[in-house]
Amino acid sequence: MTFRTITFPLVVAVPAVAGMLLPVASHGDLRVAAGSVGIFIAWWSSIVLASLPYVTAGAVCAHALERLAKAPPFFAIVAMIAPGCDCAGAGYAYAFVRQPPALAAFALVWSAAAGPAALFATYNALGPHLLVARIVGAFAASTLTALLWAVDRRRTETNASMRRGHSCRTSAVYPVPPLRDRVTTALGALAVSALSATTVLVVFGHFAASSSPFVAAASGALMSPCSTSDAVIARVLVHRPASQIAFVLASQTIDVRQLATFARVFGARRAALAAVAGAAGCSIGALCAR
Amino acid sequence: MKHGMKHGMKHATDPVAFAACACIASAATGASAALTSMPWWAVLLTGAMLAACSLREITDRSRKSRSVAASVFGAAFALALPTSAPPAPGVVSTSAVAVVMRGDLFDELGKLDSDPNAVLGTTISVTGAWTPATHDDLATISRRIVSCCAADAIDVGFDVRLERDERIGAGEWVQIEGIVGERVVDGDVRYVLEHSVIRVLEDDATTPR
Repeated sequence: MTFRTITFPLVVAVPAVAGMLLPVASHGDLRVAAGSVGIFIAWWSSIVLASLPYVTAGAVCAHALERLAKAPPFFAIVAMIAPGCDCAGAGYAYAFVRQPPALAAFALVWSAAAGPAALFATYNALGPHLLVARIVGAFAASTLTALLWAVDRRRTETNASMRRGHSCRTSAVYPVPPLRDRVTTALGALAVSALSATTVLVVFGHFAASSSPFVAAASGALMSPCSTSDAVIARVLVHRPASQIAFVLASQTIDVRQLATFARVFGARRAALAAVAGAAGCSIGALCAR
Repeated sequence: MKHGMKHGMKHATDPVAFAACACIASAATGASAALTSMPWWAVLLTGAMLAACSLREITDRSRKSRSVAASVFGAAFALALPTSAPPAPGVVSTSAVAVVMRGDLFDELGKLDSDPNAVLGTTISVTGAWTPATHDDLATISRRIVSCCAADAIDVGFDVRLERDERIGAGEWVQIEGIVGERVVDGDVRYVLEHSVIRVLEDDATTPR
């Protein structure tokens, strides 16, 4: 609880401290240090500022839809076809807490990895062949995540039933959280992922320029670029098709922002399962791109 | 997990108030326009929505004072942000971007991407922002692509070897005419404009930034 309460202030403070220490340790030049601190804070702030409108819109839309509609598939369909950025997912992930885990997993992973805006950007930047590879990889990651979450839920329910000494299914009842709580959860995930991305950029620069799909995927996962910009970044920085697809899929399925959101909303185990499924989706997508 | 979430949200007003005032102040100062591709009004609207969200839940005095403090801190944080774009991460890339980008520099990179042999050895003229040479790197002419925010900005362009040395400051908008060549750096092919002539553009409406 304490961690949850202090996450955001802590993450706001860390960029300044880290930005001060990194250049001082490496150069010892105060002017360079001051410049690096400024750049570090500017990049971190730019990620948060650019994502906040989507995060807020996602949270507000999910809150409104929950009050208007009750059918679970409705949320999933809206999330998957919403023509926004994947940042919005951090805002509406809360809406899926009360839905079946398989549906939640498929909708959240698919909407991040293969939303309409992401597919459009991929077609323009990387062409039709890699568009198909992205769709196949995203489908594989979404389906595998859904399967793993469904199995995990069944196992959890079985264990809970055994502990209670009878065989009836448990039915968890979650209260509808206030809008502020959704935004706070999303802000925490956003701040952490922005910190990760900024640290990677300051320490390594754009190391995705490697020809290895594995390094490209690691870069995408740590930098967590938006779904509307990942294809353009991949086009410029990554040169092999398999690496480009590994980069874009990892940016949306095993990235820090997505996994931090899953961990905060659904728990660390579900986040770990999503990471495994996402890695498999990246591999399948990369194979399709060859 | 769910219990912790519910309990922890009692203290949740602060980050929302911080973000609300940071959005409003950054939209007002122009920092949001410098750091993101988001229009200022969208950031302002987001700030207003977050502020409404934060104010709605304030019920007691201690929470109110905490929210006020977070708001002030958020506004101060935003006021300290730069109002001009920071440098893009990484080095200038000489790869083509996408078919949707238009401009002489993007067009030439696009031609190089589709058929390098047709362009290599020819003389071309491109416009963009100038970066002088350093001890390790050649000078570059580049244009910046900001898809979303300053952290994912990418500079694309050409390395440049000038015919004769010129003292031109970084960031000047220039036109370069040179012969397209290529070189290999760390295993990657980079395109370079050899024997180049540079011209500083003062206010050239035909070559928009």
